[in-house]
Amino acid sequence: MNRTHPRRTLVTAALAACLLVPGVSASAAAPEPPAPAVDAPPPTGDAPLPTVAEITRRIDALYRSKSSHGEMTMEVVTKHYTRSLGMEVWTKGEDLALVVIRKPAREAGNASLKTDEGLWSYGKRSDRLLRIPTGLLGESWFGSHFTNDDLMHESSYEKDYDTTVARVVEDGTPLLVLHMVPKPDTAIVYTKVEYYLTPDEFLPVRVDYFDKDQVVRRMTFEDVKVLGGRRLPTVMRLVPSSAPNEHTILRYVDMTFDGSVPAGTFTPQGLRRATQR
Amino acid sequence: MIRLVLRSLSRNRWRTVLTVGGVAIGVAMIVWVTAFTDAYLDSMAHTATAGQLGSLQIHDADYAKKRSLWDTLDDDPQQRAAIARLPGVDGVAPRLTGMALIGRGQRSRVAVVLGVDALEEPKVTVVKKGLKAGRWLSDRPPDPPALREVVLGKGLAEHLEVGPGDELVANLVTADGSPGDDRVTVVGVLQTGSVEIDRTFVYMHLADAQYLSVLDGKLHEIAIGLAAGADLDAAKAAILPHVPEGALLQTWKELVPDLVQMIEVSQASIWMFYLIIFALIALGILNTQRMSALERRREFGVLVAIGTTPNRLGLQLVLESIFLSTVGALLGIALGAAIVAYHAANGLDMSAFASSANDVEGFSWAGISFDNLIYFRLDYAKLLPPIIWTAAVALLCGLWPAVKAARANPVTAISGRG
Repeated sequence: MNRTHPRRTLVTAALAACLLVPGVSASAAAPEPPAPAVDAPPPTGDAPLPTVAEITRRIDALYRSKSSHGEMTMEVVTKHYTRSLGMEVWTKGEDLALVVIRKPAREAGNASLKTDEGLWSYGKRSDRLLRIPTGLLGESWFGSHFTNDDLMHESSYEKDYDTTVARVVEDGTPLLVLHMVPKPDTAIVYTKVEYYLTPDEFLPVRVDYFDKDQVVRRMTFEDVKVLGGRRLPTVMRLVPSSAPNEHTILRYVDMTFDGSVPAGTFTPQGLRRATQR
Repeated sequence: MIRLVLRSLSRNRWRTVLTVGGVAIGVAMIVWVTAFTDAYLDSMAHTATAGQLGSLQIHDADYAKKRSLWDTLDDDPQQRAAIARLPGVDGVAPRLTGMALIGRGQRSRVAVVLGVDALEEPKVTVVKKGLKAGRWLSDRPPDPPALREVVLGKGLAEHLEVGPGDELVANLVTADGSPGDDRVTVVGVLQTGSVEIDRTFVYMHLADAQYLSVLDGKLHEIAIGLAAGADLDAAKAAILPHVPEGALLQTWKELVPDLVQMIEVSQASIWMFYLIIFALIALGILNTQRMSALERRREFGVLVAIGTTPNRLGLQLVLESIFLSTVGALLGIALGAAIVAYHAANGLDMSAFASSANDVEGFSWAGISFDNLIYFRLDYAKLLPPIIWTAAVALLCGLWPAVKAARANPVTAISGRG
């Protein structure tokens, strides 16, 4: 996993902003002026259609950070069980991430580590790190509807998708939509991804993942708040279409961006220190 | 009349010996092939059931359709003990099946975890005999702080580069979504010849598997092994009252219909083989009888000339045929039975037919491996049809020369013309 080209976009998951740097980042290079202030006057519906690059730059500015540290909760409801987890999260750049379960006490100390060598799972009981092989990337992450792949999968928006932007109105609400069709020869399992955003702030509203013409899962973004100095949706709800009664809700409780996160956090020693806290 | 038949048969001993020998070899071949096929198909069925299936299995009815972690049976030792007491039942093995990520550090692999009862499992399957290194699970799970024990398939052990004594991490998929990881120690490595078992299976104590997958007191499967020769359907009927409500009892024939179908096809194709052998025997007998009829034209002519009626002559020839084929068939059975008895005792080595590229011991079909040595079983009831068939064929072949001879004109026959 020592790819050297610049990593970009995680379309899959505008999930945990941190772990799974979401969204649609444009060319990593483009040194652009900072994104417009959050409370800039919103463009009206009659304004010219923004370009794909403009939108992705905006999402980038929203979610990307040199580092982040925060607290999340995850609620999982399936036919077989209901889980509620508290987690602490650290990220650095786009390749390093650590998630440590804090609650409930019975599961506290289990962790997921993402390094440039891949995704690792740490079990408190075994006190060992185990690399998750590619064959398991489609499996559930901590028993949720998110997959390991949602954490690992980096699809480059420009490289892997053909994207067009359009305006739609849903229930009287004007929205922007990015139609993203995977290019041939990519490993993306979806036939199409539709990314809905607010037309003014370019805040994510919903992502529909398609298999053929069917939505197989839907992620909705709710509860827009200012967190760590950024205004962003703080709740992500994932619902698989095959089981509409099930869901996973990921909620940011607290977040700081661009603070100091030592690189040693993302090593086995750093992980142990973090889990034993 | 009998004396006459014997005398005419003894007059040309070579002819008689050849005919009898032809019939005998034909019958011997049929006997051998019957026994071989039976043994081969038996061995196939045995390997399928002894490798992993067991003769019968009990599942939750939903689990039988779609193997879901949550479709479980209750772990009820008393109920299993009741089944174990039934006649013909060798072992009753409770199992919990799960998926796990197993490995250490960088090396990891998805595996099928089979939580088993260390004492019952070897009564149902040959898994313990497949041990290549180390030992089978200890009778009881060791007490902490000793690590949980696992026995790995050889392919899996090689991939993970571990052997007996090494430590691994197993992370089981759990029923409540929580992590199901723990350290385990490899106590044994086994090779059954089944590709599935050898590459993906991890055996561990049932209690450990139940604990790690958060399915305490639950099972996915009860595999039942029958004693050799026990009747499958009778056993099913006897076990049925002990099957809990909502569960399904299936014989291995219901579990692997493909294999059953293959066995049936093999049985059907045996008949082609019989047909060819019968045709060969028939031709042999027909030829000998015809030659002898031609050779004895003059003799028949004289017999008719001195007053033997055509019917009497015909009867004599038919009796000769019956005698030849009966003696031949009896000799053939003796010969065939002797060879079969040898293979029953010593086995027939099939390894010559196995692919040499196969590093597995035994040869395999559809992931099920077969022993190289096939031990024949002599089923006396199966000897009767070949005797009857051969006798009938020989009789029919003897009739034609007999009719021909009976119609002989004494004048032309004696003179040797026409």
